[in-house]
Amino acid sequence: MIDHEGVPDDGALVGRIASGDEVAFELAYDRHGGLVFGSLVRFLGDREAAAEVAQDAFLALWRRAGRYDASVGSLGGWLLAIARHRAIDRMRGEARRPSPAPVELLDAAHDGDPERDPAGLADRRWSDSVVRTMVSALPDAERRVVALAYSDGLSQSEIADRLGVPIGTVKSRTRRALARLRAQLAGVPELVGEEIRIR
Amino acid sequence: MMDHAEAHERIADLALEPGALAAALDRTAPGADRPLIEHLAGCDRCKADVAAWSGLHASLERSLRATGPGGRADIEPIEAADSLRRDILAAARGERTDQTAHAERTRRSDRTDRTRRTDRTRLASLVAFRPPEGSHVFVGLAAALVVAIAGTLLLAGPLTNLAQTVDQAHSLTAVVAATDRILADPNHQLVALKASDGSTGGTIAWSSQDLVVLTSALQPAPAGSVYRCWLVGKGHDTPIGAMAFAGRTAFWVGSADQWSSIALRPGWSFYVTLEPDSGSTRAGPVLLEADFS
Repeated sequence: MIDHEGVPDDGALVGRIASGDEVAFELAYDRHGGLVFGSLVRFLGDREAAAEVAQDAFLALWRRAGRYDASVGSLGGWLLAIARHRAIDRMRGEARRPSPAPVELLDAAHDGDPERDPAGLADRRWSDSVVRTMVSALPDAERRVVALAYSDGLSQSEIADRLGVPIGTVKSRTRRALARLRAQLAGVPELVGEEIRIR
Repeated sequence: MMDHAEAHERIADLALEPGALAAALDRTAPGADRPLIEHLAGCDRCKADVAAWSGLHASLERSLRATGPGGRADIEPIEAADSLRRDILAAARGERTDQTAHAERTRRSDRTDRTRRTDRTRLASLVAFRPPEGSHVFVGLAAALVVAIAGTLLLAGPLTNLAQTVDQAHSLTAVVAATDRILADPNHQLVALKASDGSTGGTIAWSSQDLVVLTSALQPAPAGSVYRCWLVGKGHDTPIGAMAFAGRTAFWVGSADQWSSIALRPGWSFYVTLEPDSGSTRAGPVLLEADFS
């Protein structure tokens, strides 16, 4: 689908990439490169390693765009999944663990203690890295209210006092920020936290 | 009984405060919102809305409460170096070059007479679209279009160098790919893009899935301006995109997805105008124009 500015959605973009369209590939990088790279830097703690893994992930898109299934998740989510696997492989290599077993097998071989479960720890670290990167990409004013609410645990009125702005301003910034984050996270369902239950 | 609109609004308000939604939906809590709870029991859309908001809250609480070395989760922006973009694009191009060379060799060895006839027919359909004699525009545009089928057709003669030159402009690969798809469609169509003095300034080619606009009649847009493409019909101006440049060739490529198709109706026109970057309405003079009659 093409919007009124001629900007294709992810599905159309991947279709073009699958047919060798470099401009579409550039667009995909411009659209998702920041999220992939930022998540990898946070996950790996090394910009150089993150750049190498990001390159691997985007080249995987270039080579295998035809395998993308938009019904499963967003293109950003697909790229993040590739990046996560490559990053964990890299961490394994650096830890000099020669086992070729995938994370799931390591998981099964573990004693079940979630605090020591390497696969669980990796998942948690990855999830934190991606969510923090999504928050980091918000406009400054929106990022600040999200940090005060979720990192510092302040209420909307406390945030308004802290920032010296009307509570209506805090609410509108929060509303915009959460809407953006919700839309982004919807494409990466495995990162969405546990839902609340009506009791 | 709370109606859907009220419930939707209430959920959106509660979603602003971490924990407020959960508290409102806890029947045992003093702040339980019983009308909302009753509405949710019969409204799947609102249930899904609650699920999405609560999932988001849980993710944010989990990821931002965890503290880093500075006592707070790191949420400062991390910018990728420009060199990463360049490296990734260069690596992709390098792979394409290798794949193209391999595919070219394979196609040449495997080609049948029938395929050759098909290729000639496709080339002929291009050549048949011939603007007035002496137009230098056509040569450049024909080369840009011919390059789309260069992979399946052995070219000879003076067009070869020109095609290779155009092929070196990597940004035109989108045009190449889309043009190839257009030409593969037996129902594809071509119209000339006319400059204000009536001379041919470019070409529009389209099929049901792709539309390519090519012109060498434009100079790069001044800073702060953009050449915007418009579909005009029934009194409506619809901006569909902005022209990009690869060398001296300006182009715009649009592709429909699998659920839609491109249908340009008789009586509609296509305009290219020069507009401010931020402009959303058509204000500049029409520089290039085509009629879909």
